[in-house]
Amino acid sequence: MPIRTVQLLGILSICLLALAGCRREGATFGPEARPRDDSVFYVGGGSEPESIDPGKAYDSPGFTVSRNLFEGLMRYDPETLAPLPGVASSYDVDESATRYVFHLREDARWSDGKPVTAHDFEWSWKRVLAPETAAQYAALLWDLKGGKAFAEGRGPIEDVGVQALDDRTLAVTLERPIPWFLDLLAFGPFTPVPRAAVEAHGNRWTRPENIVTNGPFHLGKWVISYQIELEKSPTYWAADQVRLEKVVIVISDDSHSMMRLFRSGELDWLGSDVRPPQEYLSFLAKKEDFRTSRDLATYFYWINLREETPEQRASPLLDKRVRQALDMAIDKEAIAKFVMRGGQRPAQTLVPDLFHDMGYEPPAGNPYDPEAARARLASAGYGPGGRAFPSFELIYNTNEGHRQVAEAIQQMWKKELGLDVQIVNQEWKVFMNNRTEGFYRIARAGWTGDFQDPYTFLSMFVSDSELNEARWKNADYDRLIDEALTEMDTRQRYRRYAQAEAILLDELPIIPVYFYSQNTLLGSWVKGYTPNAQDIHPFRDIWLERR
Amino acid sequence: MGRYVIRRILGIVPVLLVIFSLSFVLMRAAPGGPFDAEKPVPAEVKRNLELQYHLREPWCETRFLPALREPGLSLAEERALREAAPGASRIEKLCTGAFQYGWLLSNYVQGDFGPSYKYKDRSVNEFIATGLPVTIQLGLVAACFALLIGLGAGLIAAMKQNLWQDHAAMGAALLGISIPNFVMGPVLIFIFSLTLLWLPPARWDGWQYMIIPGFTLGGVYAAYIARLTRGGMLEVVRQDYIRTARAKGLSERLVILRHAIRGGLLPVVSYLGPAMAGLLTGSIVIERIFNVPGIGRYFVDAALNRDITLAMAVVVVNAVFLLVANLLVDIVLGLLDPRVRYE
Repeated sequence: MPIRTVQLLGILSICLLALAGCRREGATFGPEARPRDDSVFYVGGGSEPESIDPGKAYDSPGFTVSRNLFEGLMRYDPETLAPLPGVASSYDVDESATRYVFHLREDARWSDGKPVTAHDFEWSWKRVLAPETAAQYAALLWDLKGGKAFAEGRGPIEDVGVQALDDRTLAVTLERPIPWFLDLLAFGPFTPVPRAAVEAHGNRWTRPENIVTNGPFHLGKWVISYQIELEKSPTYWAADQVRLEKVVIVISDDSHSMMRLFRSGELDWLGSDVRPPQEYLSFLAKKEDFRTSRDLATYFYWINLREETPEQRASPLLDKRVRQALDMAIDKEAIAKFVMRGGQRPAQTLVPDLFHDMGYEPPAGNPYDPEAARARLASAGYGPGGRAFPSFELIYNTNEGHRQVAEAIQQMWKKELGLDVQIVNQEWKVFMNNRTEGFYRIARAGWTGDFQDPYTFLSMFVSDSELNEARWKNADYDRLIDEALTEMDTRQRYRRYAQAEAILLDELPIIPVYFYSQNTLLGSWVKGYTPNAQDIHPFRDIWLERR
Repeated sequence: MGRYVIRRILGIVPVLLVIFSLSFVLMRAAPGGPFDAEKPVPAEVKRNLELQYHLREPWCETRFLPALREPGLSLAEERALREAAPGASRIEKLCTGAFQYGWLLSNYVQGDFGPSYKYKDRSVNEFIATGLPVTIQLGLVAACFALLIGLGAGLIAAMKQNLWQDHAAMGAALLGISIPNFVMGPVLIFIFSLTLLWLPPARWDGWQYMIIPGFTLGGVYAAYIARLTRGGMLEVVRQDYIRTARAKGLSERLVILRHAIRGGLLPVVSYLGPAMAGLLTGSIVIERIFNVPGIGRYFVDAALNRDITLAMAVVVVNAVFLLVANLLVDIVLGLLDPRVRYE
């Protein structure tokens, strides 16, 4: 009898294999043509947004939604993300570059038909700054005159440098000139929110039944952890330019299930908050609907330079030569090419290569050179003939990709420098806690730019920054960054940045590893999509090709 | 029996309180907080968030560590302050924890699970209210699959003991038990959604969306039920009263359906309590794979996000299910089995 069972199993498995054999193997991963014929755009949305209140949103899925519901004084150019006139049709700026006057367009309306006024902006910006709002991006508005003082409870609300001169004129005064100020105006915290709805409904104002929007879309439906539906707003001033009738954002942070939905044609685009799983990248790379482009983000390791405890003071990593040796012993080319395999580029610098196209001339950084690395380590007194290098830990947050990178680097340091490194994975919140409290020697990090100026990367390392998790201090660096800020001329500013970055790369409180890439799956029928630095693709400019 | 049920229901309350307290302590003890992130928020903003969510209690600070009340304190300064006075800092934290515990408990008593720590504009009640029906739906579909397949296969196996039908059914059951559902799910999706294009690969929009996830989730339970049914039936058919029934000249069908099943299914019934609770929580993986908007996914996600209220709510809701399911099973067992007495 058991033989029969075996036979049965055999037949079953043959059937399974036969089924597997008829899997379609086309030039595309998803369908070749669009399976539906309507103007509804199905997009992957990543995890459930923490909040879609543009003033309080913090995570990328939240901004993806709020960006399409609310429009600021400026809006994003879909190709370059440069600021285009949004609610403001024009602006004047004085010579000191600290006082702006914005003229609002007449036809800007809320979805309840009321006009969008300068008072809306004044109220909304002050709301973001107000301590009781607890907006996590409030610091972006600290550069308004009196903004930081008000946010910290030290100054009155009247002194904040944003003021409605009349319904259609908004005056903004800055503490200091900010070269990229206009770029910021399209970003969530700077968009207006409907005062009446916020005051009437409290934190329930973002529900479909309460929300009032001023952007190209309004909120149709929001099913928790499932989907968010955006519908074209008829009151939007450029409604005739919006071609999608509806956008359905499918919420799930399981990249495998999102990929299957794309394959079966239920998604038109994987979205900017979902990435295809790493193990599929080499398979997907051959498909026509796979897109890869450079991202404004850097993968690096923090090196703890704190000297607060005896243990920290004994760290061999406090010696600059050791840090340089570590950096020079890593074959980043190999990591990008053979470990990550998804269009990442090796990073010798912190500032991503996208800025090189914009005229930023990066410092050289430390080349991959195991021979020189060994020499550096020897000059610090370690290695053959010197002291034995104490073993240390490298921590990363639990993730398959991070593990592979850490293992590769562990191998390289072992092989080239003879170092013993334990790699330890930690669950995200534990990891973040250890990193911010300084309980680590070397810790993995990733940083994405908030706007298109190297400052968004370099400002992390000034001595008094909370973001400076290495606690690295360098007066020359601080001075150069300060000086750069006063330069409104881009080339001059970039020159200062480059000088500052040269110091950073010589001192190495971090080890840059690679620059991220944006990998996605996009149906061939989706038009008006251009890859760009911050992976921001306003739905107002996207349309679907009819069959 | 009425008194028995009331006593059991009253017994649920202290159990829930213990579960509530334990999960609270565990969530508080985990390192890292809900507002820790790669792009840290300004100290002032973080303090306001913590105040709003009862992670900071002005009364405790004033009383035990007044220096914390200083306005404009940076995170580093606060850290230094706490290190300088570890004892006072610990007492202050305990005090804050006690306040938070009281606040949450008083919310629970009023049927309110509190605000979510991660999703700032949502209450936990909303997550439970939208997710629970879906999870129950999925659980019921899975239970149907489990019972239909499990009972069918078990009965066939018992009646055809040691024949090929028996081996086939038990072989399949062994497979069902040994293949974890996170393997089974993708394999079924691969076959039925991506290759044959019969059923959708994920989401929850109608009956055709329920088939693969329901089957995947119910599969393991079907396998157990099949084995339990077979075992139970085989034991019962050897009993004297079945021999009597046969001796009376009843047809085999009547013997099985009228007399044997009632006793043979007792093991299955007592298994159903934990199984139903398992079907509801076992959907952690299934809900993720199939993008089903139930509450199962929050078991893991909420804990990882340190979303204290949401994590505790799913634990408590699940505990209620487990306790109620067990109570129901005990009642049904009493009805089925004359040997069971309610005492």
